[in-house]
Amino acid sequence: MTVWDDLVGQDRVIAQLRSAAVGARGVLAGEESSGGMTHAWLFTGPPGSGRATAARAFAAALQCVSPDLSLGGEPGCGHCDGCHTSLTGTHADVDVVSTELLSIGVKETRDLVRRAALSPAGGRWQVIVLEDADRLTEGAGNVLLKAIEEPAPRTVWMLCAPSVEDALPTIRSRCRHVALRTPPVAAVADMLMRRDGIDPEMASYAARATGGNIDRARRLATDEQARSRRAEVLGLPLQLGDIGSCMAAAQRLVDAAAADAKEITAELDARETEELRNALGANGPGGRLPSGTAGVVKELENRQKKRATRTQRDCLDLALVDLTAFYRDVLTVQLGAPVPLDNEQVRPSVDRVARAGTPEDTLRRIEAILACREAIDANVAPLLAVEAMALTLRAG
Amino acid sequence: MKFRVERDVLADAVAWTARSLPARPAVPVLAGLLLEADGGTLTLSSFDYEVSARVGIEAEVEDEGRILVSGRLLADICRSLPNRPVEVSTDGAKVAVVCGSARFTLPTLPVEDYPALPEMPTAAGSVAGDVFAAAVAQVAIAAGRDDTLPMLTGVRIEIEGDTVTLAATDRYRLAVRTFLWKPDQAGLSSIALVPAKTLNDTAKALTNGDSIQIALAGDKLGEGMIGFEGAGRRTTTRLLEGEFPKYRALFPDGAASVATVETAPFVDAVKRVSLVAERNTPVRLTFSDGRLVLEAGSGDEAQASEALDASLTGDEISIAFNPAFLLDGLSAIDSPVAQLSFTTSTKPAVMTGKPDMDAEATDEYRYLIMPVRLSG
Amino acid sequence: MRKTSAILHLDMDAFYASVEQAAKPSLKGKPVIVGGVGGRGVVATASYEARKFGVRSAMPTGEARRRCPNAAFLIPRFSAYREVSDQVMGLLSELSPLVEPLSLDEAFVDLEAGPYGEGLDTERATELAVELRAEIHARTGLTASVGLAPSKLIAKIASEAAKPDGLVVVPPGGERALLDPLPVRALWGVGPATAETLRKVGITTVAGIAAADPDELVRMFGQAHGRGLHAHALGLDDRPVVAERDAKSVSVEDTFEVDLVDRVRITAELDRLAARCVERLRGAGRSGRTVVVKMRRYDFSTLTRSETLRAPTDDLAVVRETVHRLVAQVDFTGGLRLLGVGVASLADFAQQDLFGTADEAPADEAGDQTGEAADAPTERPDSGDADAADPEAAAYGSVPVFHPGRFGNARWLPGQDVEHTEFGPGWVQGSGVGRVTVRFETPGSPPGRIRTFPEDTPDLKATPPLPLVPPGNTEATT
Repeated sequence: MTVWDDLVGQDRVIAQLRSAAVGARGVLAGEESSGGMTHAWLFTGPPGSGRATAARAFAAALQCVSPDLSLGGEPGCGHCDGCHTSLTGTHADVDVVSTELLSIGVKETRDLVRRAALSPAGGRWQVIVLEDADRLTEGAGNVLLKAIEEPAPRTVWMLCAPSVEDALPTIRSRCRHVALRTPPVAAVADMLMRRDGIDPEMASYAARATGGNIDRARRLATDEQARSRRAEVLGLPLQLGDIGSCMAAAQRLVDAAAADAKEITAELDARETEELRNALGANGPGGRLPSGTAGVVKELENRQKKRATRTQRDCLDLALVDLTAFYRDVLTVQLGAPVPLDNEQVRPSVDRVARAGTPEDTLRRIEAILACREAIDANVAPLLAVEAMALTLRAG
Repeated sequence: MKFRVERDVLADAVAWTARSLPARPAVPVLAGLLLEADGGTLTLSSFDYEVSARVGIEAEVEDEGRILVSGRLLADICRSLPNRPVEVSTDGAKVAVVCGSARFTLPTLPVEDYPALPEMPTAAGSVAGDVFAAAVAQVAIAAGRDDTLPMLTGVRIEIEGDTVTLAATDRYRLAVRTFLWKPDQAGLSSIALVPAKTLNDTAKALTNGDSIQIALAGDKLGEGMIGFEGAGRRTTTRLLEGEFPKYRALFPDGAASVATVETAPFVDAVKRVSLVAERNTPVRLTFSDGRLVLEAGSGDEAQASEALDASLTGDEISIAFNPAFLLDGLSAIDSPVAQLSFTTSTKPAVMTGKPDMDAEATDEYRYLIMPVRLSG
Repeated sequence: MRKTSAILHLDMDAFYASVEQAAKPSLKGKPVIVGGVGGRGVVATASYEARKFGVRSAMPTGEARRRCPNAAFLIPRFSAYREVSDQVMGLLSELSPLVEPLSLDEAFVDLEAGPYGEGLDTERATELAVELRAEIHARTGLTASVGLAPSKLIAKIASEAAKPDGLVVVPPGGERALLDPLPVRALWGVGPATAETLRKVGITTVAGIAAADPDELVRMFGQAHGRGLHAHALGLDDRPVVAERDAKSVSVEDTFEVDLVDRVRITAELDRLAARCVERLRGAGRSGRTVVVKMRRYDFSTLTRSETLRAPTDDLAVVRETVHRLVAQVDFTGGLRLLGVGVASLADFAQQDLFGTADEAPADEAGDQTGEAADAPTERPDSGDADAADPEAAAYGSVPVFHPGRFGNARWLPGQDVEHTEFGPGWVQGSGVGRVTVRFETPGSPPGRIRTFPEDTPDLKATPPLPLVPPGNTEATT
């Protein structure tokens, strides 16, 4: 087992980071050259490719204190104290910063920079992983820039963003770039089989259907309800008979996404709340909390609420992505392209829709879905946006 | 894991360690207290990523082990234990605490997720606990509080052989205190910048023992940390990065005027005079032979005024200060008589304490305070 | 509009340079340039002798050196200038309680509000102005130019016209005669942008603005600006002289011909504004707790950001730090057409700062130091990180100044006051290659000799500036 096990189909990235981790050990030992290690990193890649996972794995490798290292082993064993607490996010010197808000402002960034200036408690590296670095405001970016330009000797910054363009130019020019790619479908399927024990057919279906998004693939492979909801989404194009049906279909889509989101967060929320209450000293589940600790729990609840909102939007967006995949399959059929469909299992529906229209119609429909996603991102009421989209999908 | 301990010893240790638990834990495990039973000792630890606390107590250890429990809960339980020996044992994912006829169970927290505690740096020397606490309090009062210049929120500890010098400033006043200590090695030389509040809290909490050890890293082990140990209790704190300003040169060479005033009446007068005026209105001190006149208010009309006895050598001088800074200094010198040295009315004044009016002032504690410049 | 020319504008002639010439007798009648002496410094003031060579304020020191290589290049000594300014402002306050200082060397006075206000006419006002100029010269040895007029606008233009060492009185009704031929930039509030817009419609003189249709001006510049322009062009200005005590805030603004988009440039402009604002603040003898930054965007939307400090300050470094913090979070996309820096919540006292930089050259960039002895032709390039804007550090050699990230070193700077154990008081003429050259003369003494010592000699120490005219001596110095 190593810390890199959670990354799928990112061999080049793993090689780059492993080499840097070895170089980092050299720096700690007082060697001259840094062997690929540097103090600022930018992890990019499509959603679900594992940016934050890669950053955490790298952080763990930097903090690895495996006894094997002195025998010539490589950093990143995955089970020593350093690796484990880095991966769970409890290591004193690994600060994983993620936000449920839509932007990261100057105040939080200043706080972050201040914490980054402390010397590491464990005497190795002070690592800061900033997930969602694309959400930094310009002011926050400037604050960060100063810290990245003049880092403390043991501080390592790891920023994550969907693509280089999402990071402020002044910042990205000072970071080493780690580019994750969309994992190949086969690699995702392979991982599902190996790690989650999914049977090959299901693994293959889940991997292909989610276009290389590992988290989604895993969910789809393991959760019956998630699969049935997806099937509903893929059935939508055939339910657009008249205006009434369009409205109903839109409603169903939004509801399904909300249910999906609820399932995801409910489990996570319950677990987090239980953990915190236990730690604070609640007397059994549902028991009273010691005085003065209610505030901390309230803060967690607020964060969870914000996350729930975010997750709802994300689930709806993913449902729309699935819908887009359907129409891409339609286009594939209409153009007679000799490539396998993403959604082979609903081939009959795809064929029907393909026969009923032209490639131009399909392209317009794909545009409409994109427009709907953008509208929701811009805070248009989801149901309204989806209804409008449904009508356009009907008309063609 | 299974062990037996004396009730009072356990309760004390838990209470002390629990003080360092974070009120708002960054991750839930930080709200936990780590218990390690090994050989004949039970070690309790807490951590908030910046400060760690550890204490070892005697225990009859039947089965060694390492567990994490809610610190708060354990502290509450200990307080309500009867005065009998306490037996603690784990049973699966739960911990049983039995004491006399009382029996409590607590859930355990995932100990494998608990962060590695910082290494205690090597001990450098020792000093009496009360001396240290007093010195820190005298200096921490001058430290800055806002984060725009973080290095000013710390106390600078400088060790040079058998002399330790503490310094802190917030740009408006600077406090410096030196004291002697017993270094473990001759010729030791070290510098650390410690967050003032943490240092003050730690120093206050370690006064129960006779002497405390101060541990500073000179080498890789425990770099970036400072450790304190007293009566078996150890605390580590992360140091601040950043250069503390070169403060020694800020003390003026020589003085044009030196005034001596009895501290208590001075403090009372400052308080009365600044009560009448608006908040933060500067207090003007005018020293002439035999007298000190205090006035509040910066306009032409003084809003309040008082006169005190004071002895003066050198030039007469009229100088104004922020009253809160003045009072901080007067209380920090902790002496019956205050001596103030001045050069001009726009340059810093230096305050020290003396046992009586005729005694010589020592340089052990100096409080430098910048005046306020009044217009007109 | 006033019926009497009772508003007086006083403007000391080449103030910093003149103070230096008075303090350093060997420099009388010679070209003197006060400002940043390093490679990236700018000229604060040049004496009239230096101006003949084309040296002007805000000119880079490098260019000034080329134009006038034989000038004495000196660092500013603000405590000395402040002392003289205090004396002059004191004289003004004897004329009226309504004295509005604009900087260390400029102020408005409303004579009608003073002891001579009863039945004051233009003739009496003129007498007062003449006496004032004589008194200033007697007390300080320096000359001042004065403008006397029925309004602030005209009084200021008049004092400008009176320079050097002159007095111009504009009687009521005489405003147009003074204003008409002047270029539009002479009017207050006409910056390069406004001037350009006027030029495009063929207006280049104040007369042109006066003759223009006021509605047209409103259309071009908006209500406030357009109406104000027209009124000023006609010589109409009702602004009262506001005594320092009543001022609620002190602020300075600049409009830019081309919108600023570059953050580095914006920061530099803000630094300049902060310096001017602090100068005005000090001139008024005030300090403030709240720092305000004003920004007007390309689309005329205006933003202000402010921060209230722990204690009132008049320290340039503190104000600058605060300004930088305030703008760090602002989005400049689209560009800015106007910037302003102000200080509010004024107080009469300033909490001194242990690490303050009480004396700093305005509009100066900290640069390397190059001591240039007037006699020694060689120049030693300095790579030290001593700050050119630390004359306080230099003058008070034992007090280092703290800049986050930098440490001030005591250095010998040209113009600095010193005292030698054997030779007495003098000033640093230059330093370099391990040596320092001192001229031993003081205000009122005959021109003195120079001597050279090793740079680190223990016999030489920095001292505070000496008064220009020894107390008790009110005879004019020659």
